[in-house]
Amino acid sequence: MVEPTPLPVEGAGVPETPLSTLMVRVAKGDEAAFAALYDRTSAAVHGLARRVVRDPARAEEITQEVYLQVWRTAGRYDPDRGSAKSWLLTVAHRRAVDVVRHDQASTNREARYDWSGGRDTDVVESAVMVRLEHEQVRRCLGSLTELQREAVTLAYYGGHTYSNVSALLKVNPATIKTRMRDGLIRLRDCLGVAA
Amino acid sequence: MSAEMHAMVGAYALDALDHIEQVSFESHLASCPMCADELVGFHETAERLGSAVAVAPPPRLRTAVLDEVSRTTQERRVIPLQRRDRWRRRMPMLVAAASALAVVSLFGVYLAEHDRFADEQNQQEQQAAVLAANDASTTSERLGGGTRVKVIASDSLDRAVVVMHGVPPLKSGTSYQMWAVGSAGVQSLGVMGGEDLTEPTTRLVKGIKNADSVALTVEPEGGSERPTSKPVISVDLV
Repeated sequence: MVEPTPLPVEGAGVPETPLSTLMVRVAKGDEAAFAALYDRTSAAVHGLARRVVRDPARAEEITQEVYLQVWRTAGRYDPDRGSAKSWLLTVAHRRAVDVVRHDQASTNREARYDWSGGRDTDVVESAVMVRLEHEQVRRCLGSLTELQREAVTLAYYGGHTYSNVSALLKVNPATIKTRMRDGLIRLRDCLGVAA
Repeated sequence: MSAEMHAMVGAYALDALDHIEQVSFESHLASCPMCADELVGFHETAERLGSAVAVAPPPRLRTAVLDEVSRTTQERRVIPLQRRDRWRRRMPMLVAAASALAVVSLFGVYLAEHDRFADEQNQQEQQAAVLAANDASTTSERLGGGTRVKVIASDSLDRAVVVMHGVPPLKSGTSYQMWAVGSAGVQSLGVMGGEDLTEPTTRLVKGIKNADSVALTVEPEGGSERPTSKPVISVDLV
């Protein structure tokens, strides 16, 4: 059962080609499939990069690098290990976190905030009070304990290591690691993500 | 120990481990199908967190990306994938029950991770051998812009471990390429893409026994036959 080559037009009542199918085509060098993949995922990749590096120019660079890497390494994508979008965002998050930790800019970025005040400062707020477009994600984040939520969001949106988070929140590192896992389990179940 | 490792799944999924912990957790993954399984769900969960902060990039980025892609060659598929394909072909068509699929998928994760681990372990063993070699010599160099390089070379093993701190990020469409420079000429020691630039970046290279220095140049993505630019890093071997 081979699908017809022309890609269905979005929003025209035609079922969207699954991203995993697009990935298979991309792995074979199909540039039209790559463009479709880009159109459907670039806002998430770019938005995440922007959230982590907090620098629009760097976020664009990262987005570009991520898609180039995706193009080159599409053959490595394995549907058994998760959805195509989660693979893309994993690549994007890693890259963004690398940049934040590698960049001189990270020093400046941290200097812009007052890290000294512990858990009540703006920094924690800014990580938690992200503009969440998806109501369900917002609701599910709200169902976590405060420490779970802070641990997960400071790491994911803030790009912090767990030892960093531990220092920021003045909570023992082992506890932070555990809260990250508990928090993800609760989020996963709340979002109805298939484990 | 294993329970402690398992507790790291969350931090790993959030990219919240430092480099060394990340490598050691990835080794652990090879022997922990439960961790691998949990990780899939965590990555899907993280995807939802990422999608929730989506912001469309400017249209010019799309043009730039598509343009660059049309000029970029793709890498060949990696071995573990092919091996798993073979497994799938052996499965009777369409009758694979969900449970059987789950087993295949876990086994697949295991194979992929196991291969990667074997590879890493081999690298680590070779690195350890270089560091322990009787004739190992160390050169350190501090360059401008906060870049530091250390080369530990062993002529008898014909290998060197190169440790770089603060390597400047690459522009897209370019790669770093390392070279052994000797009186006989220049030989490539390997190519690094942006994703290889961890902090620090450690490379095990082979083919240095006749070299006088090790150099790093910026090359078009994928590397060149010969260096096409001046080295950003050059370290004389003792």
